[in-house]
Amino acid sequence: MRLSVAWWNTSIAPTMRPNRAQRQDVKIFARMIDLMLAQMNYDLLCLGEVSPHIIAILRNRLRPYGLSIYEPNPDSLISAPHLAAIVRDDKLQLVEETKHLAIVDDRATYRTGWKLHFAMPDGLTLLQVFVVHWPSRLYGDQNGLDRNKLGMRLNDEITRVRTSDKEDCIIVMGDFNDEPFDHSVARYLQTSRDRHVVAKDGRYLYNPFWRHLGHRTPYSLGGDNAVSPSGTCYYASDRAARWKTFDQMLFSSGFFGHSPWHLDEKTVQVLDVGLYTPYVTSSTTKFDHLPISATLVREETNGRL
Amino acid sequence: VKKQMADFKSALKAGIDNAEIATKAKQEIAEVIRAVDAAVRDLTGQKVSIDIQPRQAGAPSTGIGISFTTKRGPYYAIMAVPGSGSNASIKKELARWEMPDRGYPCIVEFSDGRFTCEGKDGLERVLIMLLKAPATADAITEVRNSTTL
Repeated sequence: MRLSVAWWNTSIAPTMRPNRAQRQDVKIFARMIDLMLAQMNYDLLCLGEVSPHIIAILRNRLRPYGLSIYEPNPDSLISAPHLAAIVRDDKLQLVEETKHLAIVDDRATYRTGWKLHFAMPDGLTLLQVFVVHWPSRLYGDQNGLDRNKLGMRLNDEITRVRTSDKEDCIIVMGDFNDEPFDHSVARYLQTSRDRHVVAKDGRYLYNPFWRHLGHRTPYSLGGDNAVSPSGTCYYASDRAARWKTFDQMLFSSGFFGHSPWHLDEKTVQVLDVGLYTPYVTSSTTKFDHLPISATLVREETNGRL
Repeated sequence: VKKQMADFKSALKAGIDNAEIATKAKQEIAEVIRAVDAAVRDLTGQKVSIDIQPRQAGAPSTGIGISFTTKRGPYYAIMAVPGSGSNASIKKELARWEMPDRGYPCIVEFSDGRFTCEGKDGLERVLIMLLKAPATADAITEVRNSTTL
């Protein structure tokens, strides 16, 4: 039994300019959605920066295929980037949701995450998913945001929902606007690049995206030195390093031998496909993030629970 | 080299300072809640009051034999309760409420989300959001209208 999960910051409708998408952008967006749902068959696809209008269109188109779409924003009193989650109904059943986990200070409201609890396909395991789109560094700096607090408060929430020392199946995914090594993610959200630490100490989350900080293949004379992404998010204006690894997925100890479900780490990937990546590095479209994905596998139990 | 004694005096002084900060924070939070209560009592002709009360959550079933909810056990809630001008017995929960020993950050959770208030301004902003939520108005109206003649 397998369950595939993915995250994509679509960049198609950011909070400040929700209607900026051109006809060409919408076509590319639709082709990517088709690729991820019809060909790659993701069971849970979380999206960032999608407008209510696009969500409404998707809802109607996806329903005949047994796919539901959830969103945290309708009727919300807080302003935050629009998120959505497309779910394959025969795989995951939504059982609980908290639309906004947020920090409120004297200046602004900052969403630390969107919490979704699903019954997994075995009907026995609770999958707790936190979808994240933290504020950009520019916005944060302008508002005096302490980015470490985003990690600290999200970690508080994850600690609160844990039901055991190590068995919980928790995934945190999204656009952190911070790298795996930044304090907000590494120290305050308590993530680790060392899965042995995570397997031993349930307080930590494993971050497989340390593997995705650089180019996929090393440079060598006569080797495959084709230009490839060295991250998930492209900043053309950064002269030193155009790619950032802002999009990440984090996994709790339950996926490392403490529950029937396991992370199949070789499937963790930054989705680099010819029909889309060139648009991310091009100045002709607004796309600047590559999708990321992973697959979870349930061990065979031969009928045992 | 002689090892220095642990500085118990400084530790105790820091503890006393922290206790003072926590007491002030909790007084400040109580003032904010009292201000919300005063506004609600005023608008409802003393028929509805706001109070923080202990509650107990059950474990609703998902229908597939296993409960997946994380909202179990005792908790505190911001409640709409009958005011001094009411003889009703009904009360309605407006939001879940959490406050650590140090006062802040306190947490208000209602239909719109779970909000961590980092200080007085943050708490006031969240309570304004709570009061603007349609479900809050419905709950207050229900308590007000439940007064028997």
